[in-house]
Amino acid sequence: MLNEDFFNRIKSKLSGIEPDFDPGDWAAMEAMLDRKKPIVPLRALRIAAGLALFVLGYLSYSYFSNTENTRHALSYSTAEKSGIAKAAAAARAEKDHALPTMGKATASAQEGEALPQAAKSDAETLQPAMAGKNEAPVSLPAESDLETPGENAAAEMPGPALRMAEKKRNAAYNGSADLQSSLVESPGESIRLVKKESPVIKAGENYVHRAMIPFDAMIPGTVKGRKSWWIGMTAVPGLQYVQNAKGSFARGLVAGMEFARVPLSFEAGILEDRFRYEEAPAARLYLGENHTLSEGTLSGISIPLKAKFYFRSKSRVAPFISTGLTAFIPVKEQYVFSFDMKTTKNQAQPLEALIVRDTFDLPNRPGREINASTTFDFSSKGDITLPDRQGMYLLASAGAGLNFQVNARLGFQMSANYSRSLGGMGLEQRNMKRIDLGMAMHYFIN
Amino acid sequence: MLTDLVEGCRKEDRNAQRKLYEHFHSKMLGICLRYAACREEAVEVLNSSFYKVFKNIHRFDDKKGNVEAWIRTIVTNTAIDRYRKESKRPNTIDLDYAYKESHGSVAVEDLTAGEILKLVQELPPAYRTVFNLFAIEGFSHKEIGERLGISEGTSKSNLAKARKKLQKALSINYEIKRRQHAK
Repeated sequence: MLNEDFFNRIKSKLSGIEPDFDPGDWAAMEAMLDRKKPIVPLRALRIAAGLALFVLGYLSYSYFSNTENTRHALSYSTAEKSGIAKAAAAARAEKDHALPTMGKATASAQEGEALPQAAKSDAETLQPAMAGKNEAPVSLPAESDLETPGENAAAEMPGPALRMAEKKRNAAYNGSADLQSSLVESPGESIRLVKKESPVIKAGENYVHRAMIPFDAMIPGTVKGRKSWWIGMTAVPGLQYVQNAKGSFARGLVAGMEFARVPLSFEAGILEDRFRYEEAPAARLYLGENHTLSEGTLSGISIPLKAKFYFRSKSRVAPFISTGLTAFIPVKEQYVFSFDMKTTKNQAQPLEALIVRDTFDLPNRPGREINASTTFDFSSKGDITLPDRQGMYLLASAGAGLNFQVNARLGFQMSANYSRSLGGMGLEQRNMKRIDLGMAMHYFIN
Repeated sequence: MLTDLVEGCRKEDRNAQRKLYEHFHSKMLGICLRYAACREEAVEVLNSSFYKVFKNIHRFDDKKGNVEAWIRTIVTNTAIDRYRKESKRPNTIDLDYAYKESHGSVAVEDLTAGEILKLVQELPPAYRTVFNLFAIEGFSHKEIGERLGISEGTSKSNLAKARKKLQKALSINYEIKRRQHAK
């Protein structure tokens, strides 16, 4: 029998099917029409939820990255532990009588404000100044309580020494010797610069553990049934670990498109990326100073471009390989140094004990480098369909890649890396006409 | 009359909505039944379609087409959308059987419309949808591919498998009926 004939016979049979009207069908229809509209439309709720997540992520990041607060707390506890606080209070009380005004200097043990900037402004009279000038004098602690390293340094005036330290430091940071490991010693000034490294965390040199939880709010759509597209916001709080765990946060817009006939999809985006890292370019020991912490914060714009090829795009488990290129354009990089500092009028009599925090903007990074990297991920995404078009997916991937870095100071660098996502999972609303919300947790190691 | 009903629906007149629904119920449910696996599913598709009709009736332009064709398009598209959303994976069931063409030919004539509809409903969704779009609605494989998000080859393959499965089912049904008559 010819296909056409067979189909025509079927068609003629089926075209006559017209079931009788059932009032129950209309009752169901009427119930659907009478269903009360939510006071706040579902779409608005989802958008609000996405925005709330976004804001929450941002606020969390802002709070935890508020170096003023965290540094203050850290410095204070350090001071208390070492007994320096008492010495500082005592010294302040003493200096309040001897040096009532210190110009623009603002550093203080308890407030943790930056001393060296103030020190720059007043060369001759530079002294670490104190807040809380009206505090009552307290008795000095026993010398055995003061265990600050550098205590045995030669007696020196803190002002000129600090100013010189500042100059040296700035010269080192700004000068051509910036990238060289160096040891600078000047007996008269007792300044040593130790550990000079590139501030960039170089792929292949460090193991970078990074865990991210992306929150996505996407609006999907289709183009003539041939292509699907999506556009939305993403907020990605994360943690990365090099020597210590540090927070990171990225936010921005992403868009993508996939094709019905070809198992390909493309994604692009623009994100503000900000992450902190432990490894600052220089840790410094100045006699009388005990470097306690240095930390870098790098923020910039990421422009990721990614292509995915699905091996079985229609199946429940869809393995895919993805590759892409991410351009990272640094906008601002800042280093914060914290160190305990104790200066002495002479060895026997502590004059001042301070905890100082310095903040430096790295002068020659912003706008001068583009990092590009490409990573090949071999991933598999398994979908689990839940009732009411809720969906859940599990993700696993492993990847290998090449990182390229073009840097104004470092030149061209290339390194290989590998990454693996130990697991990811997400929840999404699969409704092509509404907002998709997704959440996943990705973890990988470079 | 239909024009008045449409006008009434535009004003969200419940009586007009009921009359329009009742007017097209049988015809449109017949379409839905072919795409669905059972009557309940077909009614769901029908009601989802009419919900769209009532909510978008202001977009219907009487001058550009008749309301039946417009509603029919919505019903077909709703059935296809349902298939697209709910079938996450292609049905890869391979039919491994021999069928007798002559039986298929005879069976179509000997079975009632209801019996044939039941056999169509028993097809896997992927086969059933392609079969309906090609054999009943008259779409080409290229158009089907675009609508369902599958390749032209997949559409052809699904149709061939649907035909084979239908023919086999028709043959079996025909054989059962013949034996019952013989007794």
